Amino acid sequence: MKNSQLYKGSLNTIIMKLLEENGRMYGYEITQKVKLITAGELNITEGALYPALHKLEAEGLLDVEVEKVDNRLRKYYKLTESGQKETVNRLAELEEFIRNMQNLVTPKQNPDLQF
Amino acid sequence: MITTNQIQLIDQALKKIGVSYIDIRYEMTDHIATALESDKKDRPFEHNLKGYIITHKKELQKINKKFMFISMVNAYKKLLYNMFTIRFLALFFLLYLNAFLLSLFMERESVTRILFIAITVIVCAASFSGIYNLIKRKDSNSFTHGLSFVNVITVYPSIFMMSWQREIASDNLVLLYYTVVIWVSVIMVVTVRQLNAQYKLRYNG
Repeated sequence: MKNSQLYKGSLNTIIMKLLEENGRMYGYEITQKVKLITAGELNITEGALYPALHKLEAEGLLDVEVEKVDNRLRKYYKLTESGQKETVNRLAELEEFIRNMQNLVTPKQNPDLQF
Repeated sequence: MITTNQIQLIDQALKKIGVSYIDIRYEMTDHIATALESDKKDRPFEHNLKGYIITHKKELQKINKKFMFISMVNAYKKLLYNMFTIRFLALFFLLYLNAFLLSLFMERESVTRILFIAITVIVCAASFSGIYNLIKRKDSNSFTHGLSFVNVITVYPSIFMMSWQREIASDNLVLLYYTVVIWVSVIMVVTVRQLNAQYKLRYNG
């Protein structure tokens, strides 16, 4: 994953957000969707994606549906009810983080903060 | 579209690099198949597959290890959860009561021998499917990896307990030990059956 240290902490939220928007998705589809949205800037590797999906499933945030597609089995992931609630919380947390980082990286000129 | 024969080739390639459990292979096979289908390069399938496996070998092995760890943790969580259900708590008291009643009419060594035989039978029943799959080279699911250690933990101390118990003064302590071991073994058998049913339902419909 590009610049992994910065993105690593947000991977679960990215996955949950995509599942919230798309209903259910399979692993490869998630990697391609992320690549498409970020115009190839962010590349989620299998090594990062699948363990994250399995952990979210173990936490009860994701549900699994297995279907035969073409001539193989495909595992689809979708948000559980608690997963949907958790997505809202995590997105709010992420937005707040981005806002704070934005303020830190490009601080607006505030006369009250002038020393 | 990738053919059934090519799917088998992907599956074999995964087995070859150590991705042995079927549930992990299902997901990785689909991932690789979809990736190869999306690859627009006009090259023979075998060449593409070989290239993919060589490039991603370390990553696939890392995923395999992580999958095994996560499913092991899940299996132990299920085992722990079962321990604290009313039916298994009731079973514990019933087992202890039986052992205690036996001790009223029999010598301690005879009681512990009976309890040890019970442990052996239960552990054999619990291990049977795993050993059978291993001998017959049948596919097994990743959760079996973690739970196989429980048998070792329960059987080995019990063998030594047969002689250690002579130095333990309290009958109750010895009975309690055997009751706990039998209880854990029974819960393990049930947990394995539950997980097998869950995986079967998921992958076989």
